[in-house]
Amino acid sequence: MIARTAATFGAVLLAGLDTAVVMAPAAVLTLTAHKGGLPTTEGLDLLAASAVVGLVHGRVVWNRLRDEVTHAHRLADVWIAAFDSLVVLALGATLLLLFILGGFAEQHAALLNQGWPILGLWIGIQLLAVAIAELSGRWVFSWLEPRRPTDGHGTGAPPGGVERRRTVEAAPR
Amino acid sequence: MPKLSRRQFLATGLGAAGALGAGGAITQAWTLLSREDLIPGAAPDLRLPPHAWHTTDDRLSFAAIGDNGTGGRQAMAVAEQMARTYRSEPFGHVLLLGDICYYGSVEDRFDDVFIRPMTPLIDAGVTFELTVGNHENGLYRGDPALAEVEAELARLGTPARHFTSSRGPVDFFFLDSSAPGAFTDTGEAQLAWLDDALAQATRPWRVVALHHPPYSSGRHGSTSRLRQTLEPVLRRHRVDLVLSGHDHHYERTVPIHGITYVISGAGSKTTKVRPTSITAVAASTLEFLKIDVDGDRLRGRAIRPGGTILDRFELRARSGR
Repeated sequence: MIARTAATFGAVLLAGLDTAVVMAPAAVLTLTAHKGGLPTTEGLDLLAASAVVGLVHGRVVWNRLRDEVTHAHRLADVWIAAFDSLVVLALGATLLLLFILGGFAEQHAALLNQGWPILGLWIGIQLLAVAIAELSGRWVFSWLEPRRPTDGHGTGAPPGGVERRRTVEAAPR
Repeated sequence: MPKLSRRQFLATGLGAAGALGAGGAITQAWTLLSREDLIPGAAPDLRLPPHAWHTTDDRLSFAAIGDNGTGGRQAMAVAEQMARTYRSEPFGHVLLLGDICYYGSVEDRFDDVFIRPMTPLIDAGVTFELTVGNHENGLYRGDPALAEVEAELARLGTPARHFTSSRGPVDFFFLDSSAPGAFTDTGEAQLAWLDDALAQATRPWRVVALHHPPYSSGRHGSTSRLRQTLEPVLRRHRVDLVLSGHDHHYERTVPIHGITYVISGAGSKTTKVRPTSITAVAASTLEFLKIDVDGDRLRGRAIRPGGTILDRFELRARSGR
């Protein structure tokens, strides 16, 4: 019971952190715009877009972690992979924005002049960062748990499932 | 404590190292994000009445803006406010206080960082003069790379790296404070030129524009070399007002030896300013400067996007001119 509660708490915490990390750059920009004297609506479009991307990603992280917690041989593998994924996301969501926005300013201005909404670029960059983080999280988990069992018999319950659950519940003792 | 497998140890170690590195990198990145203006902005869509200003022998209205060359949302917001200000209080001239182009070369970005934001004013016939900043150090040096945009650059109406112009009751003096302009033999020649030009000035007001501020309480701080070399010339010729940019904030000093120094360097991005003993008003906020000269009074206002007034000041002409 305690282990399940801890796992749920961990998954909620990590999903929340992932959402916050996605929203942080937009929050920084919005805050800067307001401090600079721009109207309060300035930057809210970026913040709203990041909130949507962040919340959707948070939900994906939550689902992934619950799935991994259920099937993992060792709970530690879940948290290690999730932590690595969060680090990749933090780096990607911020540095990718800086690199793409700062390095290709001329091209972005040209896109804007042609009527492309800058919001599309912003969401695209964030989705790319999220995808990289998600892939890295899944890869690290599968790397840590290379002997993930398969049923081999075409039935719904994998062999050793009871044993795995025991391992999960036995962890805190 | 549970024993980590080799893979767990590696993954944890890499994650921890990444987190440590990421912590520093992300802090730096957020600082950069908050200091820059990276989101491209939509150009102001305003149509202004052309040539609506009135310049006479004793009246002149002009604007000044510095470090506005991002082409981003913040730059567009300031440019839009300039256009709105023109609509209610027309001015015929803009002093660009340097750094009209960031995030690329001026030949590639001139349209995005200057033409598009300033289109309403350009269409209204407003003229521009540029004092060269450190981010457009190649301008007016015969750089072949600029040959293709020379016709566009001509809109700046800037004939040389240092020059003078006269409008209404004001003599303007534009200096090149970028290295090596102010810091080598070229700088000495420029100072000699300024000394002569100021000696020949005949109008009641003398305004000097240069990119690097002799006095500043901001991130870059005061340019001490300029104070040593330039300030004696400015004092000798009783200059009224010195306008500059470089530091991305607004600051007006108390009169120093009779000269008021104004930094209007927040035309597109902002950095922190901490007022010091020389500061009359300072703020880290986007703005541009609108100046109205009427006879023996010069009234200045720093205007934020949205039109709120950050600072008002008034200077009186020096007697004996």
